[in-house]
Amino acid sequence: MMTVYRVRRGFLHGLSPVTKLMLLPGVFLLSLLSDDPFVLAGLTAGLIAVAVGSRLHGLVWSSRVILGLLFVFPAVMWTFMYQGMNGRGFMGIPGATTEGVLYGSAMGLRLVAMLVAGLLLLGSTRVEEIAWGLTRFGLPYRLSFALTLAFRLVPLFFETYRTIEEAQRSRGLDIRRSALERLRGVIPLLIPVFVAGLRRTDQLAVALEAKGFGRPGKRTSVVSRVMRAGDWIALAATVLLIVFFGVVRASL
Amino acid sequence: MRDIIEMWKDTRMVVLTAVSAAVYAATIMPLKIIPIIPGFTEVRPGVVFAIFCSFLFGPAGAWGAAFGNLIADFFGTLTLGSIFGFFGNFLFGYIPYKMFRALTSSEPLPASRGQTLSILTAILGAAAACTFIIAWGVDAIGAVPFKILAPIIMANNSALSVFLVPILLATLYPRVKVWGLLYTSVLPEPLTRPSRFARFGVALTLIGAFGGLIAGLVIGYIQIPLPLPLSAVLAPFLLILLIGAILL
Repeated sequence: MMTVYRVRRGFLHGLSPVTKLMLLPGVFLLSLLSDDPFVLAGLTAGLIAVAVGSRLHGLVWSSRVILGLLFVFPAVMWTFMYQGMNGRGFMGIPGATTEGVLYGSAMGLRLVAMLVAGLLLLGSTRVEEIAWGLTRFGLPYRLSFALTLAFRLVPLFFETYRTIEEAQRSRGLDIRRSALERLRGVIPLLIPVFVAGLRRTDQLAVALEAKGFGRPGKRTSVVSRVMRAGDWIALAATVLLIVFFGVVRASL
Repeated sequence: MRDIIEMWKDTRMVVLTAVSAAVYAATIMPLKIIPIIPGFTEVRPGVVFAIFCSFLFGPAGAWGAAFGNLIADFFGTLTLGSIFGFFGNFLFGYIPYKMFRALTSSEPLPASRGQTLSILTAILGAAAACTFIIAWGVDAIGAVPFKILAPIIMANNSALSVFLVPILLATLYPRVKVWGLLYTSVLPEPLTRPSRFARFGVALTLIGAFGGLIAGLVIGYIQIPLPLPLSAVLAPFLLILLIGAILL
């Protein structure tokens, strides 16, 4: 199955999905509490350290292009768009201000921190575990089931797409085309893929009903994780950081 | 609005939600490698399916659009912006079928001028609502300015949709109807009926979405000095949009 999840025996893998689902908004909040690029660089470095400790540095490294773009784009954009209070120029570049550079770097680092946090969650938690974690927060079972099922169906759609494309090639479809022409050719292919997906709907619904999906009452889950000491420590550390940065921000 | 809750009682609607989400995710994921604004938007021909599924599957299409966008984000672009993406895409799938039903009692087929106009109004209303919510949220967290993101998402959401959705509906709607998978066939009639205030909801939704978009762009490009952050200034439009969507 297509997934960002990595099978490892790292620190994050040992945490309950419930903990990780709480840590993610915690990190988002932390990144929003400061506009200082040095603080946000520290947060990003901390997250990368967690990635290394959880043996997920490979996953973060494989996302280096998008992470780089995520930093560079807002950094450059805000350099010219954020004038700040004194509007002091930056290295004589027309339109650029020192405050803009600092603010842009902070915004870039904020996004990088958020994305690394997201990667850590997805790299250490299976989709089923995320769905189970969400039900622990009160998300109805049927919603979490639909989310999991959709995840399962995505690669199936890609497979159907490939099958239909190969069938069309075998009937003489020209594949030596430019990228734009190939992109244009995708749209007619999507219709049979969509139709093929729809034809499964009734079968799938009947199969689910036959397995008791429609029955009322509380459901049990094959995924079950208890909160351990590590979970409480991670949560406490995050809460302390949020309180600390919240107090610092309020005092500025 | 009761339909978006009640639909979860029907297993076929649950499956249709998953199918809509998977189709949407599968069509936007491959193009994530060509970002327009890294981490926030890319070329998205797949949006056509979010609107198309809305016309066919109603509330399942709405949830499908929200889940589909979230799933695509799960493959490497999960940030705080994903929350706004979830709500924006939910409205992107929610508004088309609701608005169309409020405007006309006929089927969503481009068979007459009135039907086509209603389809296009619903598409553009949904595109503007989704754009406004995402651009507002992303601007609020200070990631990308409203004036930069909004025109890109609006173009992405509407350019292909206004041409392709009517064609897709003309091609596939009759077939899906025969299969009994339209939301009007699956859900009981009271859930598919437009509310008494639906037309008023249409007006509020359009005012909130387009008003907010235009106000945000005007403020951004003319660089009007504001006593409050842009997100606070635009918040009334967001409220109008949400009230309108509830009334649909």
